Amino acid sequence: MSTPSVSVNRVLKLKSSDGEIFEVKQTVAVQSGVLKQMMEDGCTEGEIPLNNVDSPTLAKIIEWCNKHHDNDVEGRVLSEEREKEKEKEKAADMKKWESEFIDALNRDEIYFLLTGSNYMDIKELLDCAAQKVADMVKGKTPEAIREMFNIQSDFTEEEEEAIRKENQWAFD
Amino acid sequence: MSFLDQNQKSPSMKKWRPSWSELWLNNKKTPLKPVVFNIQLPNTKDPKNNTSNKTIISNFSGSDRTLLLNDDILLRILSKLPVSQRNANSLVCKRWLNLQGRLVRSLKVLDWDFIESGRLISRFPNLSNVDLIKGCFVSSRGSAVILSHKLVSLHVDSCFSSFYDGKLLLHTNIVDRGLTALASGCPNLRRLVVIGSSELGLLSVAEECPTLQELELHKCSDNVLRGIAACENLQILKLVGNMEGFYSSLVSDIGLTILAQGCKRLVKLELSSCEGSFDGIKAIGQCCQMLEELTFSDHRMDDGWLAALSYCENLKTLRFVSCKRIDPSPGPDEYLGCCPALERLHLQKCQLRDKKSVRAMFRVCEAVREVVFQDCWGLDNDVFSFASVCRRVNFLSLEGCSLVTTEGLESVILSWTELQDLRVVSCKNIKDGEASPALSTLFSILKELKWSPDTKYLLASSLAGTGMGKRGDPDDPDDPIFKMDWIGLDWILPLLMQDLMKLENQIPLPLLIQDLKKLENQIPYFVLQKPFDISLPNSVDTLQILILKFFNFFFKKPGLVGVNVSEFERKHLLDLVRESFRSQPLRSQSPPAKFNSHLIQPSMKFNQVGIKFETRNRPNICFLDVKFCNRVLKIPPLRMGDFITCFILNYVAFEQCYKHCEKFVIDYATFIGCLIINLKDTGFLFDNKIIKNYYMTDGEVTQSFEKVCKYVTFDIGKSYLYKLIEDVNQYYWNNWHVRWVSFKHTYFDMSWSFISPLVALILLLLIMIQAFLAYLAYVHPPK
Repeated sequence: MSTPSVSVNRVLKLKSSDGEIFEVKQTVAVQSGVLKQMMEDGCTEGEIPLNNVDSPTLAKIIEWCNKHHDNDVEGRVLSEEREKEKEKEKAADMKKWESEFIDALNRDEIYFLLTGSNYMDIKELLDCAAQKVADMVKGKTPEAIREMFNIQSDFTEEEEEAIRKENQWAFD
Repeated sequence: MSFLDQNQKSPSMKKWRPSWSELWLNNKKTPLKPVVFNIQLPNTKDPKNNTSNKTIISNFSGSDRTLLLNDDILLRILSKLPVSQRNANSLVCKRWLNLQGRLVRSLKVLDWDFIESGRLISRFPNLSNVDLIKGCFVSSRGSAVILSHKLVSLHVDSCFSSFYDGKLLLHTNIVDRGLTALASGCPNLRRLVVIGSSELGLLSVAEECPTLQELELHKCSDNVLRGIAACENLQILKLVGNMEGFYSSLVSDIGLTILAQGCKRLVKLELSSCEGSFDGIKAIGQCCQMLEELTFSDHRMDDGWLAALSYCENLKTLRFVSCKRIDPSPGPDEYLGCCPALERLHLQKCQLRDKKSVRAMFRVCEAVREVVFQDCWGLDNDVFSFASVCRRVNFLSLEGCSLVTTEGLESVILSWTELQDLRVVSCKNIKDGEASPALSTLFSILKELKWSPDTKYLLASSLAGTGMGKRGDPDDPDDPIFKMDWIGLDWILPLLMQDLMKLENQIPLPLLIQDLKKLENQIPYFVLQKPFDISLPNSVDTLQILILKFFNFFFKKPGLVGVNVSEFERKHLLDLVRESFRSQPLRSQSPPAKFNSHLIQPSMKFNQVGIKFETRNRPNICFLDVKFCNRVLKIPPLRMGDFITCFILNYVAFEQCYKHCEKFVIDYATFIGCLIINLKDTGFLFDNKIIKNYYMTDGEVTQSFEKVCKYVTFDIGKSYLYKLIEDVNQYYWNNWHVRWVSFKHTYFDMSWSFISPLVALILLLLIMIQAFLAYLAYVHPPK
């Protein structure tokens, strides 16, 4: 096995669940916890199959990673301090871009993005998407939430009533 | 590569699929093989996986979308939601209920059955911070009224009297059972607040929850402390022995010693209303070597306990809160010792009048570096001067201590050479202008200085205790914006509802009334209305009628009740009663086009110009109803006494505060105030039976009106008495009246003096007749 090293020029080939192949620079791919681990372990030869991520989702994820990589391409290589400074400078821009990025997605895409980023272990993207879903849920009644996610309630009426009562009387 | 073979060899791995993401999440930190293995795993079933993926996508629109998200993702989403969303989430489905429950770490339990039935544990398995206080009270959550004491607040209904009979708290056995259930379900418990348990319940907590770090124990007694002693890892402990009106129990030296032997890792200890003495504190000081913060609130320690503080060698913070006394007889100086590591001394709302104890306290705290006084009574210059014993002070904060003067402050802080930081806030006897050059020099050296000795912060501080003025938590729909002092509501309603005569024998009613009508004691009207509606839905009289009846009883006027006050939007009791006066026929005149701004003259001067004073003695007359006709000023009798002075004072304050309301009490007070500017006037009105004195001297009456009128803004043009004042003035300033009256006064006042004008008149007449006859004799001389 090769020594754990991340070279700027090398490219990883990621294969989505529907067979499409994406090429990603190693420096970008390092944002994914899984890919990073694999790179460190040196088993990134050939195509890396990501069977839980379909191609539109993977494209989105790579877009995200590229953007974030652009932002701190030097920082990763240079020093931690630099990285922090840079991040501070561009934090506002990034926030804006992130919200636009997330808002542009429809619900289904967000769910796939969630699973995809969870699978690839990209914490920032996962947080961002989770926040988006949380914002969708916020302030909604149980019925509205069920409707939004197409959830079938598996409570019996008595159970639901009991929980409702508990919520009201039993604790704060 | 080997992992492919491995995977092919293990078709049984298939059943792992639903949770493989979890699996590799768990394995994240293990080296290479498992990670790769887990990732590659689905690859071996490529065709199947693809199809399943496609089916998910194709059926996606119709099926449960959250099934796509594993528990971790869903938890992540739920954890980003505010607390207010918690209840809605738990009603979505069983999975959500379960996941939401796992996220809850801290909880206030309100219903004891919830614990005993085990539902608490099953719904919230990861609890680490549990507050059981409210659950321990038998309270009715149906009520919209919250009573709040210093330490607890709870919902009440109209049967308030049950505070005193002790039935309000759950029985010890029940509390213990609940604690045992809780302890067995929450091994990770870190903080617990409970009231009224016994040592058995606490023992089970101590056994099951080794990580328990923080405990707040109400209604604590010596026996209970045996249970606490078993919590070896306890770091923060708060013991409350006695809460006025709720419960009382006893913590003494025995309990403190047991505690000290058991909990050797205590870092913070707060003793609230605990008894004890030198020995108990000594034991704590000797055993709990890590003790850094010690708080005494409203303590009942025996005399001489202060010397024991020197045993707390690592004590960094010493705090006294609401202590009526510190230690009246601390013993000789040589036994006092001192706390070598002490850094902070905080005194909040303490009574520091006793010089001996304050002196001893500062001696014990010689090493202190930070001294904070907040709202302390009796802290005058002499007492404050004892603080100069502490040589190392670098921070002093003095807030709300009104007795210390600039000299007192100066003499102490000039002796502190290390002082760097000074805060002086709201101390009204420290004056800006009095700072001496030495003090100014000191100020320029200080690193930080906050100097605002005369800030008024009355409102904020008086609201702080009641919870009013604080905005409710917008995330919490249950949070009542208004909490109130429980003392208030406890008696107002029963008082109103029951027969006054019966009550009079039981409680000091006048005293109560005195308090009831003070502006500072007013509670929002709807707070009274709501419990009234709940408790007496079928009452014949409305709340208003009850209140008015009640007050009329004190005005000694039987008939006023019938007035219609329903259309008023009232703020509180005082407002309501005031409005009831307005509904008396007080003709308020239309504002005059032009008016002179003369106020009226004192009553003696009126007497000089012949204006008479009479009492109006119709039944049901309102004391505000003043009239002037035919040189007679008719004023309803005013029964001066504590009741009415307090009443007028509060109404004047009220009318000053609320600009929009009609200011008839101010008008009236100013009117009377103008009539009596000195003792003679008061005596005169008293002689005319307009002022009836109840235990007040003439001087006091004069003074009380003078006080009221001093700072009042009185707008004569808008006054309801405008017409009257103008009439009186017109009469007064008419010279003829004056002359006539002085004439009458000179000649007709005394019974015999009228003879001289009479004689003069007769002489005049005779002279005239003589002159006439003389003239007649001249024109027609007699033949």
